[in-house]
Amino acid sequence: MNEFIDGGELRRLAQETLAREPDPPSRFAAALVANALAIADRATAAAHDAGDAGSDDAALVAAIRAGALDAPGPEREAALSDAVARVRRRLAVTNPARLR
Amino acid sequence: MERLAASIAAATGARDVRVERFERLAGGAIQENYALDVRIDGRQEALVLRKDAPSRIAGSCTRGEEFALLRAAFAAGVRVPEPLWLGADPAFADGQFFVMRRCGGTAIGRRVVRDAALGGDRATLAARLAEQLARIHTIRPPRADLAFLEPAPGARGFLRDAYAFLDATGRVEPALELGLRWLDVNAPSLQETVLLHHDFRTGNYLVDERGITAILDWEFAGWGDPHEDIGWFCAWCWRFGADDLEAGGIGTRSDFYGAYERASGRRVDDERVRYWETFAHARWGVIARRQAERHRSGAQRSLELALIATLEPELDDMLLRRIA
Repeated sequence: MNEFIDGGELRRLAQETLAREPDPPSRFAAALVANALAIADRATAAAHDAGDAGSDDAALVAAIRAGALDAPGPEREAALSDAVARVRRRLAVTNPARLR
Repeated sequence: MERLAASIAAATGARDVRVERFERLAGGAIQENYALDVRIDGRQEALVLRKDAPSRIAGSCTRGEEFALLRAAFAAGVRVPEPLWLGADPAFADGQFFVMRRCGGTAIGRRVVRDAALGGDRATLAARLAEQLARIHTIRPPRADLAFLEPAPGARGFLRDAYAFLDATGRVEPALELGLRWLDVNAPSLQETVLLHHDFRTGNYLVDERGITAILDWEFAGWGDPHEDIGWFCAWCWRFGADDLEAGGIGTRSDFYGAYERASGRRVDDERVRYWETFAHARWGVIARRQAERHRSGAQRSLELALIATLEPELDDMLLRRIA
């Protein structure tokens, strides 16, 4: 399982949160809802909801835990650069300002 | 409110208790805090009641344990809300709650780092925080009143729990795993054991125009290397955007280290602090995942908890930068 952001779920939660708030909602709740809706929109646009797990991630994790990638070298570099690329794709959904 | 008034009367021996305000305070994703204004035998008291949230996360102690930690800190002279009494009235709350005196000021991290009027001079605020941390670190094992704390689990204790959590929830996350492995390979030996607050950071202390009014949120406290608390305080993830001020977004690292060394008599090992800063991003990343899991599992449906999951990529990003 590599669920990351479920845009539909975030929208439902945002609506439920607003429904429980008085009118107008508290600043705290309004900020939470606005943030949630923005992330949900970006998640949908990026078709990110299904996650981004690679097919051989379990084997990669087993290798990392076994120490097979401890030493500097091309395998470690490849694993690091792939991890960085994935994290940046997720950041584009959650907080694109961090990419600038 | 009648049950609460009765509980307070039983704890204090008061004859007349009137609850005049009982209102949920913002923040506190793990526990719930309530402003509590009461009149006890005619005396007005401004208090806070802290109780368990509907679900909890691993590593977070019970309210009874947190009450004992708060008492130990108060007795050691740490600036904390005075702990008053521990309650366990099943008709009022599912589980324990405790009551402490209410302190003024704000804890909102972004506001603390941006509003220079809070805490006065920034270098002084950083120094006062370092002195508070040094005072916390005067509490050492063994302590009968803190016997519930696990002997210093250190980085490897965290790693053991993190792997168990990842495996139990089926999370396959190479970025985080690369960070966890680096922490395992580079874990420092434990040289000294003190009480760690374990969440000593901007956002967890109250400050007003005159300075610090209270160090809050003791639920993660435990034994360990004092450098771990310094690393947590200095970690990028707790600077709230004030990245140049490496000590909690409010001071320089040298201001903080210098004041800590003077107050504690202990030399700060910068290399050790940097290890614990890397550790901080992994630890907060795992806590964020645990928080999100409380929502995903259905234990506590919450937008706030669901949004904590969105912090994972920036924590992983910083973790990877630090180990690359």
